[in-house]
Amino acid sequence: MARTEDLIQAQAPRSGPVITLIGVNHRSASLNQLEQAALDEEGVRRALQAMAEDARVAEAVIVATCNRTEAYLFAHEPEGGAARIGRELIRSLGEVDDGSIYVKFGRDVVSHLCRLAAGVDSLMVGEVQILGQVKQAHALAVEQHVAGPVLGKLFGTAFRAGKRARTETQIGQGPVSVSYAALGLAQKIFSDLREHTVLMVGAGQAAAIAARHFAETGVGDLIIANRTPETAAMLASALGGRPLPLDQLGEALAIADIVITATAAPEPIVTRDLAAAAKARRGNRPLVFIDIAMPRNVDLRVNELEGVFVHDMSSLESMVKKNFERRRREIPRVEAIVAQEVERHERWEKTLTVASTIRDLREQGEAIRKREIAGWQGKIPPAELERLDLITRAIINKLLHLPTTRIRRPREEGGDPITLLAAVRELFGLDQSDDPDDSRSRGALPDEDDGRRGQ
Amino acid sequence: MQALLDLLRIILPVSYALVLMNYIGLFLRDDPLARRLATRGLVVAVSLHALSLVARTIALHRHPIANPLESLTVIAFALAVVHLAVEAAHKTQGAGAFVIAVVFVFQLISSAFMRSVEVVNPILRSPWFGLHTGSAILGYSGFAVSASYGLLFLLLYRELKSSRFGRLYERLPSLDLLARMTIRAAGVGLVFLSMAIVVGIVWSSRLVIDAWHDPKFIVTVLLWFVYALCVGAHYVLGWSGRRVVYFSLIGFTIMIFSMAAVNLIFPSFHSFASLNGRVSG
Repeated sequence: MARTEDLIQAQAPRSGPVITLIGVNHRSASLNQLEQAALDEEGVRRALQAMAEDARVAEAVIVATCNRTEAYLFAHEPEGGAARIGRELIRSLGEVDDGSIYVKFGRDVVSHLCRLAAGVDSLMVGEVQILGQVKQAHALAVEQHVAGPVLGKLFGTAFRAGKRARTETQIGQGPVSVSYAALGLAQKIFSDLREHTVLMVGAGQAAAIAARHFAETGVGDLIIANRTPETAAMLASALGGRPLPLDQLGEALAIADIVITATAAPEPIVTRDLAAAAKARRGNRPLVFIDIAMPRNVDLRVNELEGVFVHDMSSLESMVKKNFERRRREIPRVEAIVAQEVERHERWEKTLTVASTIRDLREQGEAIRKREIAGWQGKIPPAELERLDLITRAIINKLLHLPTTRIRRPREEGGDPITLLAAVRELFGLDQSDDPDDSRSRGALPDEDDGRRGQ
Repeated sequence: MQALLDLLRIILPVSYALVLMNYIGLFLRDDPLARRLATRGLVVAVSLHALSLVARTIALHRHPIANPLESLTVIAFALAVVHLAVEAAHKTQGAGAFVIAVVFVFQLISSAFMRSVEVVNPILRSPWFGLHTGSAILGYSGFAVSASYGLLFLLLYRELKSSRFGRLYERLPSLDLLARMTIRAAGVGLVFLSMAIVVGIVWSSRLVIDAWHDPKFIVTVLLWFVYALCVGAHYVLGWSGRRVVYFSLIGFTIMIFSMAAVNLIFPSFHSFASLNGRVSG
């Protein structure tokens, strides 16, 4: 208890509202503690509802994944008030020690969320799912009416950092799980898997995971061969394939182009002779064996056959290991992107003053007015142009009068200055001029592309 | 016009060198800047190349394929264009470092030894000649593309067999695509070479030349047979993979021999110096 309180005391800014993060993750807490704090989607909804009803909280987003539960808060409470609200939330979930909880403020929160979205914080460095989860968390908060312009901007920044990390660095490159490595291998031999047949030998869990990846990518035909026909039939119907008794393996090898083996057989079930016979029947089409069984299901000598490739667990694992190492080497480049995005976010925060917002509002109004007038130049007599100039100036002034006076006295109206300023900037599109990219990152976050690449 | 040609002669190898550097950067490090610049740079280089071929045609008042050096630059051009097409169709830049390396070397040799506008035997202005050499060069270009992708096929095949998963594995397109490119390019080359041979025979009979004992002719017919076997074995017998690729590489070796050695070593009407006294019709 005391530790978190000390942290809050020491780090919380003395004045003004600030973005606050409080949470637990796989680094700060033990697995048991993490489970205590875990929240499912319904739990997140309920917590957000509670936040919405809490007058002290202006904006809130909760990011809850297997490896973390984090509350991002923007509250009117100075001196760490928001952090205390967050701590109440986390402690309300279960028996979470204070020592497992971390608290961050302002710039540190921006940096933390950017790193999270970029996949640096993940156990599987560079995984792409986290980006979708971050987006989903924000969408839930929007749905519960507790998201606002300040956290919207924060999550927009993080999302851009995540996207940039994946396009500008290799943090998300190369498969880091055996089953994706197997898929990549097949794609390196056949350019379009939809023209090819996949044969799955075995119907255990490992087989099912690999087969699912192939089925999701789209294959021409999926055959599942298993010793127990019922299991084969079950998996086949789940994945849209067709079952086959294991004793017809020889025939299946003549048809299939990609063979994944994952049975518990103690001896190789695909011998060199069996493969050679299949090879003779299938002509010159290449044949790939991906053997994810331990011990091996495919005799290594099968690899000696022309146009036949055998890859086993050890080769897949070496690929995965190499990709992990490369992803880790990319972390400094990702950190550089995060630093840029944090700085950009800070520049935006600095515009959140009454004076600069009014200035930007006026400049924008004047710019629009001048553009419109320029269109009439030379088309109407100068005297009329002058009159047009006067009229438009008056319209702009009248139009902006109320907003500019209201921004100056939000306290009296019971509003929050920062939220109001951020809302004005968003409503009038004041941050667009210097950054065409920004429109995406404000309210609506861009759609997540396929979440598969990174896994 | 001559000034433009001289300028392009220097600019072309330099721009291909720059493009090649990008493709190498992309291959070795997947450098994001190189990824963006490589293809765009290649488009610029190919456009300049097209300009140079057009300029040469206008300056010389003939098709720009009268000697081996001119042939080389046209083959380089065809290789670069085919590579761009493959890149666009398959969204894969990985083969660029290898293909553009060949383009660069061909263009460098061509630029280095190309003389300024030379006097050309009037017979080379004949439209027959244009048809004959034009189709021969297109055929050779097809074979060069075929050999480039064939070589990449062998490299990737070895990588896959040994489960090494190095850079070749990461950057090259699929084995399947490399094999298809090897065979298709050889097929296209074969069609054009057939055309060149037929036109050559008809034309030489009009010129009263004994083509049948010409070394270049004999080597070219041999070349034709090798590629006919390569393409035929694939489409008729269903051969694929390494065997077809080997044929393509053997064919390419013969082609280089036929382009370089035959012209230098054997006396032949195909070396145009000796042509003057012999043409009677």
